[in-house]
Amino acid sequence: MLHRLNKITDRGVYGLGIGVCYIFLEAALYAISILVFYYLVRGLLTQGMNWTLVASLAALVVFFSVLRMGLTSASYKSVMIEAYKITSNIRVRLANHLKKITFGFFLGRNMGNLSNAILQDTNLLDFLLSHIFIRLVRDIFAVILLLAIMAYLDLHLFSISIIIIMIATPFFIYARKTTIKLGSQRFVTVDKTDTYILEYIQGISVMKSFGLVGEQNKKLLYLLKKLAKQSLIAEGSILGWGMLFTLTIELGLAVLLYFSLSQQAASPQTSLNSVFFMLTYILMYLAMFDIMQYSLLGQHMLNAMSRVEEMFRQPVLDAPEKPQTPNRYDITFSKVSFGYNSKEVLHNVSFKAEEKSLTALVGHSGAGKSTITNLIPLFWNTYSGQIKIGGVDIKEIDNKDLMNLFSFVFQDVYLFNDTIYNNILSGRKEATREEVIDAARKAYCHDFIEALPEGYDTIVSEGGTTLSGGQRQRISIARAILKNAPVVILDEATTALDPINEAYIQDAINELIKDKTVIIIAHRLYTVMNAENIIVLEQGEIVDHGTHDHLVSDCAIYREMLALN
Amino acid sequence: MLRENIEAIKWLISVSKGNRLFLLASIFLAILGGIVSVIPLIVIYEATDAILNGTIQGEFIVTAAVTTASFIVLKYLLLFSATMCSHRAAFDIQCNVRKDLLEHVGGLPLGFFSQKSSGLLRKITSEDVENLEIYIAHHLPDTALSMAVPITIFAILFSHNALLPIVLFIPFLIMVVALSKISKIRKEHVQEYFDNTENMNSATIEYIKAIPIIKIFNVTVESFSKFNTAIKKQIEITSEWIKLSSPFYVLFKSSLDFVLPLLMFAMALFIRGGVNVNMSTYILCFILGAAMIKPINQIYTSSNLLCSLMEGARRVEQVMDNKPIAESAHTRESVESFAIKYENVSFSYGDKTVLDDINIALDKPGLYALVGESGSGKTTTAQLLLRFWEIEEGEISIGGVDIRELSLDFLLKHISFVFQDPFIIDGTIRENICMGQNDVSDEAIVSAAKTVAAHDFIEQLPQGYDTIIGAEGSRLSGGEKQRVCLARAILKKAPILVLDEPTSQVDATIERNIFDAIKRDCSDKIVIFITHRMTAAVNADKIFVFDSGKLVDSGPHGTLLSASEKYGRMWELANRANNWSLGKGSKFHAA
Ligand SMILES: Nc1ncnc2c1ncn2[C@@H]1O[C@H](COP(=O)(O)OP(=O)(O)OP(=O)(O)O)[C@@H](O)[C@H]1O
Ligand SMILES: Nc1ncnc2c1ncn2[C@@H]1O[C@H](COP(=O)(O)OP(=O)(O)OP(=O)(O)O)[C@@H](O)[C@H]1O
Ligand SMILES: [Mg+2]
Ligand SMILES: [Mg+2]
Repeated sequence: MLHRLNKITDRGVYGLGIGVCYIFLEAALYAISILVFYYLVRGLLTQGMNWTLVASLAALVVFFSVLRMGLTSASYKSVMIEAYKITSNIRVRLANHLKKITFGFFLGRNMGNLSNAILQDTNLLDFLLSHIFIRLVRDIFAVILLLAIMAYLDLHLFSISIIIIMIATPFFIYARKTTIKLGSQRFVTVDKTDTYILEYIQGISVMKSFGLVGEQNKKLLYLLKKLAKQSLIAEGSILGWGMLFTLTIELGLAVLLYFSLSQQAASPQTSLNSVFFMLTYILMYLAMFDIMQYSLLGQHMLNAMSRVEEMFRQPVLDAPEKPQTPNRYDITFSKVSFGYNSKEVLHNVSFKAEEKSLTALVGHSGAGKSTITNLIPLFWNTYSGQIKIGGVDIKEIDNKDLMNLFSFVFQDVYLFNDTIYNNILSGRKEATREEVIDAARKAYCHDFIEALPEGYDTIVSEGGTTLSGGQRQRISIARAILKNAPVVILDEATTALDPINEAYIQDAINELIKDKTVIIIAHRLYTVMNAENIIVLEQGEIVDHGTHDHLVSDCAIYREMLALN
Repeated sequence: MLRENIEAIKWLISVSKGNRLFLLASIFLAILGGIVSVIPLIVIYEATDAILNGTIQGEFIVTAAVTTASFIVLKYLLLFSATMCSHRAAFDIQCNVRKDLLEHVGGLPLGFFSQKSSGLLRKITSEDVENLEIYIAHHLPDTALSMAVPITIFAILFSHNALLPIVLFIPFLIMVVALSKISKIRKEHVQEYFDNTENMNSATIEYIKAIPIIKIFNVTVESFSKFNTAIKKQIEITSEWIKLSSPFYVLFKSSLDFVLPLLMFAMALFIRGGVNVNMSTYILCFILGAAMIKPINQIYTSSNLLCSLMEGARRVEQVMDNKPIAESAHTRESVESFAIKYENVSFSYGDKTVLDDINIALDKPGLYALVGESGSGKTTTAQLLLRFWEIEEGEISIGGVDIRELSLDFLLKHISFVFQDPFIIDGTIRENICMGQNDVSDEAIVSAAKTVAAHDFIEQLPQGYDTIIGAEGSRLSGGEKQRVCLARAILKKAPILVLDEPTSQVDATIERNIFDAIKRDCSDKIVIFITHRMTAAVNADKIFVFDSGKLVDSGPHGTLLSASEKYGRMWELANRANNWSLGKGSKFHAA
């Protein structure tokens, strides 16, 4: 387990080792104390001791106990703090890893699953490491030492105990198996439920308007009930097997009692040893029960860890061997074909977007426009053909450098739950306040921002819902302008804007083109008719391209779209 | 600690409707189990006595073994049933609390969701309520048992020797003191800890949702400050917490280790004083001391969990304390017509006035468009109809009845609304179009899809209507998502249809098809749509022009073109393309 853990953190788990050493010493002192007590009682029974000797032995055990206290303290402290550090490190690494995974990964995945992997699963790991791990280790040490004492006290009874433990073990194995099987089934339901809860909350307006709130939402009800039922079955059967295990071991006490009494009746001299044997057996099984509990709990956590591991196993984009940096920023597609799954969406697309010019992608909804733009930052790497920037294959560019080349306004606007200022600033962290305001001016949002009660410091709610649709979109444009990257990609960046604001933004875009490569996707042709190159896309194929005038005269599809504009 | 317990139990009782019997049974069985669990130890004591005194008889051997075995089995039966009862209750309660919570949240005004992130609400419904389950299922019976065991043990020991219980009692006292100290420290930290976990939740969900932006803008985890601070703070809080409480925790945990030396001192004292105590009594004391460890540790974990439970409960209650949109006492379930009327409606979000004295009357079925600059209040105007927000001034009525007089159910049932942001649920296209309705015929679904020009692209998908389109509609293009949402609203067949920018992401051809179909299929409905596209607006029978929260002009396209300056300007700007090509006299117009 530790081995596996070691792979997903770069802190190394050996920091836990010190704590383990401490706790071993503690367990040893514990065993010695019991032996002291044994010798004391034996001494008292056989030769009678004077009280000073008893008192000084007691003092010795007090000393041991104090020492044990210190050791426990030291070990818990070091393990817990180390554990929190390890799990935090895993969280950060996981989040960073997610960033490097190709985009496609996120699509097949539900949000609950992902957030659970980062939150709940790492929390479980956290708990495992900080609370369970050290106790488990302590109890394992204790059981081993107690078994040794038992063997020392009475070999005959010891072998009986071993047989009892062996009889009990299959139950433990079943309990574990059940935990693995039902536990992971339950995990799936928990994930589904969580995802749905999240979806329910995020889509609350839609849910409300369709009367799908609470009781009336059959899916929610079904999931909650299913979870309750599955949990009960899982817990019940795990508990059942687990209890059979402890029951068997505890019943061993009755067996030992029988044997030691019979043994005693036959030969009275070993008396004390069998009494102490039973005592130690009781201590041993108390520790054993904890081991069982902890290791079943641990099993849940191993399940959690597997999921975290699975995330880490997701392939990241290969880093190029000899990363190159382009010094021009024209973009060429040569014979690019691509499908999200088995169905090809882009067929043999070739075009060139010149530097310092405006290239427009037009075409019907679903034609593949967004797909083309999403390939440029290598959100997907499974295309065939070649995509180059300034003559350099995008796969040869270090991913971080590649990202620095683009300013992107996505079709779906997403704002962070932060101030408006910080939202724009996220375009370029090191920008000054003046630059931020300047970008806001260019994107025509300065005026409405100033009109807000708290101006730039107004907090935008999650996803930006406290702003109107067009306001959100303009802020995302400001963010892209602030980044000031050499390639600007605008995917339907003005859909939520009225013609007046759109015209203003248009001016800003015209300003941008002067020194950048700009690619625009638009449905409203008047926004792109000035483009040097308009590419008309139909069902994933380029049907024609050229200037507005050229297309008006030569391209039927373009004419049709224009007629309706 | 006690007060906390009582508080927690009060809360538990309040949420455990229908499960109280199970809870009581569980507690009772657990207490019984606790008492029974001590009996085998007494038998061991008797046996020890017999061994040490050499008074073993054949009969005793069998009785001792059988008694031990049967009480052990009995104990297990009791504990198993106790735990099953508690689990049964726990999962049921958990399910109910979640349901109630989510239902309640659904009744709140939308403003609530601008303050609480979805990550936070998810944390409360999933994780905090989970604590409830763990506590009830495991710790409630365990706590009952843990209380029963030490009491039984003291009683038994006392019956053997009046002084020896002190040996157990001193560590026990220390433990109680340590425990209350730990609780106090915990109480001081748990709130901060929970707050921070909530932040971490919000940040994580945000991070995942914003992945494309995170990538493009190179937002590193380290610089995504919310996430990073939350993680750092987590370490800080917990290390601080551990530092403060670990001495007491160790004291608590180790105090029972002192039973043995104390016992030995007692022995020394008794020997010195010449008091004759049976050796087996000492041994009994030792065993009982060991038997106490587990239940007492249990008290620790339980009180730990109890604290989280209470903090979670507090958060659940906080959400529940938000007032849902008020329904008037005598709500009406019917209206004579669906004519909509806004009379002198003013509205503000907090202290920001957004709508000022809006008057709109839509008496008969038809297409009505709301246009205006971004941020002028169109979406707000439309959403007020759903009572997502409460208006401060004026009145909105349907068929002459103030919408506040209508039951919310009735209202929502008769309005079909398409929001500005397309929202796709994780499921198939069919599920997305049906949205909870289950007895919908295939024809109805296809016909709705055809109305919004979505049928063709859906047919082309690998599994047609059964294609899973995933959360966030991540498998569809922008325009396709939008059309799925439209189809959903069409299928609902409500007499009032409100569309907030329904065609912003589709091309002109599709837009034309959609509007033609709506005119054809929805001629008996009141259709209100918000749009920025003049090509869409011309379809309306009447257009309302908004400017900074005011309704400035209204009328059909033809009239507005000359009468409204704002409208005229928007029209002109939107037609640049055509004008431009006209100006060039290109072949296009010749063709
Ligand atoms: N993640 C995905 N998985 C599977 N198919 C997808 C995915 N994203 C898009 N598609 C499909 O690929 C095709 C092209 O989609 P794309 O988003 O590129 O269209 P678009 O031209 O941008 O359309 P719109 O104007 O509506 O945004 C569509 O048929 C769409 O259904
Ligand atoms: N939940 C909210 N909390 C606070 N202010 C809000 C909220 N929603 C909208 N606003 C503000 O109210 C004003 C009107 O917003 P509304 O969404 O009605 O505009 P709109 O006309 O629909 O604009 P758009 O065309 O850009 O969607 C805006 O200034 C916006 O910032
Ligand atoms: Mg698109
Ligand atoms: Mg709007």
